[in-house]
Amino acid sequence: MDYKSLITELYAGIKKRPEVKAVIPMGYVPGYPVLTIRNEQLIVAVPFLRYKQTGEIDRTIVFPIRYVMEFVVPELTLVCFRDLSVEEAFADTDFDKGTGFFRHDAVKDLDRNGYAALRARVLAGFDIIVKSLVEDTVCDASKENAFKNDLQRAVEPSLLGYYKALDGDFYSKYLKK
Amino acid sequence: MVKIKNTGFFKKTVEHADNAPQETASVQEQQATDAKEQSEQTEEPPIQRVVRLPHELMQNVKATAEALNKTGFPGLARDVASLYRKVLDEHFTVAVVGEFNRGKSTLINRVLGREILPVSDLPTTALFTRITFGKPGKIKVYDKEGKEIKELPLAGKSWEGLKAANFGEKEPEGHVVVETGDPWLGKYGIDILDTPGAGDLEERRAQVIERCLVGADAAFVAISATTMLSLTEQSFIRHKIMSRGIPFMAIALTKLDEVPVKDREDVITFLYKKLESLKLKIPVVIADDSIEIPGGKYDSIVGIDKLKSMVLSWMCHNERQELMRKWLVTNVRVILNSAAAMIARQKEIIDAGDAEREKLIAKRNAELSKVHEQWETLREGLRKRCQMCIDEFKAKAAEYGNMITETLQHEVARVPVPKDWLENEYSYRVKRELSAMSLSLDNFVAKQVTADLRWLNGEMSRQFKEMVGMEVENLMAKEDFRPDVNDKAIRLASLKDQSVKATVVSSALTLGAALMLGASGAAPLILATMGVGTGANIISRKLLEKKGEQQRETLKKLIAGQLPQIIEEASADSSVKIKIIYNDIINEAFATESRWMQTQRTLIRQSVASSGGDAAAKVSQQAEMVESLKKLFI
Ligand SMILES: Nc1nc2c(ncn2[C@@H]2O[C@H](COP(=O)(O)OP(=O)(O)O)[C@@H](O)[C@H]2O)c(=O)[nH]1
Ligand SMILES: [Mg+2]
Repeated sequence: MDYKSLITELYAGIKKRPEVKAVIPMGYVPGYPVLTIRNEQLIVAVPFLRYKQTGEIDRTIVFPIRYVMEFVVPELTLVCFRDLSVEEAFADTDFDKGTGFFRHDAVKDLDRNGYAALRARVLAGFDIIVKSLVEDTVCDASKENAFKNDLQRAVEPSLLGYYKALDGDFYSKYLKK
Repeated sequence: MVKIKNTGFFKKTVEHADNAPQETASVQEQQATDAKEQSEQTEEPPIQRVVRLPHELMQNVKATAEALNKTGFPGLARDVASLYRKVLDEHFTVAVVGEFNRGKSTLINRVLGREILPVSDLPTTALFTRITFGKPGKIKVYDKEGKEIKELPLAGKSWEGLKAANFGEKEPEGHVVVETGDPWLGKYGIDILDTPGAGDLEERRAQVIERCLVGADAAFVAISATTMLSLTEQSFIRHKIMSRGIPFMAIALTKLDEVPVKDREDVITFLYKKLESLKLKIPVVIADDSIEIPGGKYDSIVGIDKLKSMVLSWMCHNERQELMRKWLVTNVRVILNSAAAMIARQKEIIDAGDAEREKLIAKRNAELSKVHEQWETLREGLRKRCQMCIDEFKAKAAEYGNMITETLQHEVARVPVPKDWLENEYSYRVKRELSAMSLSLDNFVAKQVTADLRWLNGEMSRQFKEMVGMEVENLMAKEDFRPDVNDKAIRLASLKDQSVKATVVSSALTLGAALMLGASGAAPLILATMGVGTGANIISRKLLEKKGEQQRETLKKLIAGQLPQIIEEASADSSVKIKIIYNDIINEAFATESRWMQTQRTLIRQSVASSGGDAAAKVSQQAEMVESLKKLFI
């Protein structure tokens, strides 16, 4: 079995997955994932959120992460679906209110291609980490560092709180500045 | 299940490494594209005009427009003038057309080597977009009157406000012009038109595409390898492109990468076979530099360079100049002929003596009423034909349903492990069978509609001839530059003048419009097969609990239970769409008649109002002028 690009492939086909089609409302798109190890199993949590175009450059509204789908790796079967709006921890969140804007400062200098390349690199970084965990090999530190830089740059600052809530360890390791 | 050994991985921090992070690479990439852009901006290539028409001809056209305007035909004069302008503005316009999500915008981006147009799974291109050479790059937005309303920088984000999604209920109108420094566009004076996808959209958009096709020299029809050549697309090619006298066209096969590598060659062969069976002699190109097609059989049609050289060979085509001359001459002649017909009718009434004039007018009016009745009968006949077509379609669909069910059940009885077959093969097999079915049904409907149209055309032009006494066939010289289209009924479609065009077969034109609304097989069938996938998953779990023969029986029941419903759904939808096609023809025939009647009545009234000697003199003067103008365009 080849675990080279599990996450990239998961993302490439995510909108076509029947589970996703069944529960994620139209208009929601997947954000950058979070990895967690639970009961010796690796879980990839895919957050879903929506954006609203205002027509103004760099003023596309970013809404809070609303849904999370967790898949167990490497099978990528769905193990958990969460609607954060019914969770106690998010009782005070207004999911209809924007939390920030796209593009945020860190990616303002990127054009469409540049941003797509960044996103692809981030997903490829996830692939590397997933592969090393599944195959129990050592993760190349320079690649991990590059991944950390890319991820920090790509994730919208206004969503960091949600990422922290999704998994504190992952957040501290890769996203905390 | 894979047990993770390194369970503390995320609790540890990332170690520092001396290697520079990958980000530098992206900066370099960025610089590389910047540099490319700059180099593009320094060279300013002159347009290489490929076609020039004789100066004398152009002068004649101009003189004709002026003469028509002076002698009381301002509408016709405008038509001639627009022909003139079109020839002068020699940009070679390549339209990229096709249904939504066929990869049109992606294709254009590939050809231009940059992401000029937004690409998306949702209908993105809301407005039709002309891409032309210009510096610095910008996006100009025009309203429906053609007035420029804003100018935006050529950047991805500029599109956000122009996307279909942003218009919600309201259909956007107007168009967009993108100016970019692409040297290929600049060097040869090539314009590319991106059209809003038509598949699932409103009629208004279909009209937008029509309008933009009128001005196109060539067209690529984007067809996705995953949904090959639906009836909609076939009809589009025939009615919208070939009947328009667009001299050059090709099919751009997209999304071939979504087909498994081993099947790719077969898919291309299938497309060629299908085109051949439809008698459409159209070249195919696959404008994708990264696609792998084993076998090498189709190497000569793969690559962006192939598409580009195709366009250039069209531009430089020996016959293009001749085609353009013919196109111009024919169209001017059509306009002049209709002017002549109008004048002749008027002259008849004016020339008659006072007593006879009243009789003549009464006779004309009676004739008009008779024509009205006759045409009402024709429309009624067409309604009946529509119902027949639907009935037969339904019967055929049901027949196919039984056939497919039997075939699949037969297969189940023979596969070694029914469960595996269900999981791996079933949905694929259903899709295969359904696409075969949709192909046959498509062909059936196409044949039926064509036959009925031909019947209507024949009847209408016969009556037209009786009424106006004009040789309709003489006007249809367009086949000269469309040697591949052998369908006369469709050929009749592109007459210029309203009152003439009105009478004959412009219904053929609108057929495409109806079809472009998504009027056929492929889409509903695909939707239905998607359902099969999910259904199979659910059943499969139950099947797991059963053994051998039991599995087989359950599976057969599943097939027998699911298929009729799938086919029923698909065909129910299709019959509504067949109705749309016919209704469209009927409506067009009605509009046609009203327009024609109006013209005729106006002419009669005018003749009554101006029956003096002056009027007679004026009319014969007009007739002479038109005759002498006609001599210029032989
Ligand atoms: N796999 C694959 N996807 C494609 C290709 N061309 C377009 N697409 C995808 O198809 C969707 C629609 O593309 P777009 O160019 O916007 O289609 P349009 O509506 O015809 O202009 C987008 O998600 C594209 O990424 C192709 O050649 N291969
Ligand atoms: Mg598009």
